[in-house]
Amino acid sequence: MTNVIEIENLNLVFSAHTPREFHALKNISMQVKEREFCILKGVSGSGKSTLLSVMGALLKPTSGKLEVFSNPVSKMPDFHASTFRREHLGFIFQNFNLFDEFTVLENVQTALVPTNTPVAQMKTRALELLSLVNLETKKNTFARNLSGGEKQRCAIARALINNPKLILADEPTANLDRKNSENVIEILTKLNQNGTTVLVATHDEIFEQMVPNLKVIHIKEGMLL
Amino acid sequence: MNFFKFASLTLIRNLSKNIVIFIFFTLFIFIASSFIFTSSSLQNSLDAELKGQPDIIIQHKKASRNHPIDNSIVDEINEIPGVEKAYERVFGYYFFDTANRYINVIGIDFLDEDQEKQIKHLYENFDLKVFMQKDNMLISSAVKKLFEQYYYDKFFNFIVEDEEPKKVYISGVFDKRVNLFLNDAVIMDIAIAKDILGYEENEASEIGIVVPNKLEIDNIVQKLLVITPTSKIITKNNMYKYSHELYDYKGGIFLSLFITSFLGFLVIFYSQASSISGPGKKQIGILRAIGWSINDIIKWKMSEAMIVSFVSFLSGILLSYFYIFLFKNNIFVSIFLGSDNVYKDISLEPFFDINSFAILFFITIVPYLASTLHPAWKSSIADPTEAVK
Repeated sequence: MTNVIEIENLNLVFSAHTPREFHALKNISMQVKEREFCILKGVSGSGKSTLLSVMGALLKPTSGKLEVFSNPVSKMPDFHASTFRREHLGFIFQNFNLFDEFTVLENVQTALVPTNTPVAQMKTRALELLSLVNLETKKNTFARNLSGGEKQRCAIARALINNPKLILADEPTANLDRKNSENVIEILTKLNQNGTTVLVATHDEIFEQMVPNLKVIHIKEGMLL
Repeated sequence: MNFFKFASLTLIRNLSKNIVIFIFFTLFIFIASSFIFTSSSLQNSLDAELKGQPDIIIQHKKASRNHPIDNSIVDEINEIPGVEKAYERVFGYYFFDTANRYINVIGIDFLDEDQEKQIKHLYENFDLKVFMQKDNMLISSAVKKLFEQYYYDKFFNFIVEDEEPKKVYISGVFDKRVNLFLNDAVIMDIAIAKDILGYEENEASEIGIVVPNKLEIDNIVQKLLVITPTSKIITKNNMYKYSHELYDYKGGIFLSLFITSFLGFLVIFYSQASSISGPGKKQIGILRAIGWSINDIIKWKMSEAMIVSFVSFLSGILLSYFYIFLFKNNIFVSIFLGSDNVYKDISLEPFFDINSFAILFFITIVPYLASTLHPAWKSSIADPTEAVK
């Protein structure tokens, strides 16, 4: 299996050469292979979300090599990084990050706005994904009126709209109860079984209990253990 | 969903945030287009009114004030080659002291075919035979209201020079559309008007001259100066120029005030748009995280600005159209025409001056979009990791 993510000696320093200098990621080297279900496990403040942001081209590392699908993500200019995220990645956030004033269907379609996808095609694709996450009956409900579990399922549908090969999820179950967490993990597991690589930053034990063949990467104080 | 639809949704669903800009923008356009509608309609009506005026007017001035002119020169003027017709015109203000108001008394020679035609334009049911049977007059609707307040609903007693009342009957009320220039007017036979205004039989307010060949006007003016060297001679071109200068001057003052206040609005808008709120940063962070580029964010923000400015522009124009042309006596007419002697009863004729609105478009929408560009870019470079915080 080929490497989806390849990192070598990656460092991220905030406010470098100032009294407030902070070394957020230290000499990170790791690989995530195609079709793997992987979790980055660590306590709050250990650097999980930061590492996820670097992998998602939201943050640029200070030094080191980072390739995602063989693309040198860390050197990409903003325009290419945006296109790269849209074409290859699906982001799922701890706080769902939906647009409360949009309906479920509109939220799911948001990522396709810059792509000039025909309206009918966009809607068909969004409805397929809402069916996948069992939310088709709520398509016209405003996001603010959804429960936590429904919000996260809507966020998963949005992350899948561009058919990404890699899903990056930041604490996707942190704001959910046990039952909704199980639902979300089931969906992620199903996606993984269908060929999508999944990388989750979490400290939730439930992943280890539910996901077969799970790869666990421990992180502490910005370093992999 | 495209950028335009997305921008519409974000605007509509965040209406409370955007309503202030919309209201201010609409208000600016409303005020500006109300001025444009009023001035262009007045100008258009005035131009139409001037078309019916004689090509040359001769007035007698003393200490720069109008004085009666001797009408005996009419025959001499009629002899000038190129002059179709010269005729006396009589008008003047009569002071209605009980009401403390001035009334514009206009005398017409009803036996002159052209003048009779003009009267029929003002009052469709005009019947010369009936009108000439006794001392009759046509009055404006505003004068009618004024007379009725003092129970003069059938006739009015003008007090003439010898303090004797002269009873003139109200024969009809002329069309409201022409009230712009005849709002305070009463029209009667020239002999009665002379009597009321204290003119001698050989006196008139001015002499009107009709010249069919417009190229001859300057030559005829030269000949008139020989006949009556001390008189003031006004051509129709002078009248056009004067009326345009008058409105252009008022329009210019307004335009400079408008641009100043609009720039103030843009400065406030710019500073408000430049300070991106916490939720705004988060929203942009989410969009960046799901694949929107800086360009995409700018396109979205510019689409929002376009929608706000276009909708405000159209709303402001429509509102002012209804206000100016459906509501009488609006404040803008008073600004252009000044306060009047009598109750105003003016309906402006709808007129759309596309050039003025094109200028309004370029001095409002273009600066607004330009002032949006920098805040849009500034917000688009918001840290995308806001989404994962």
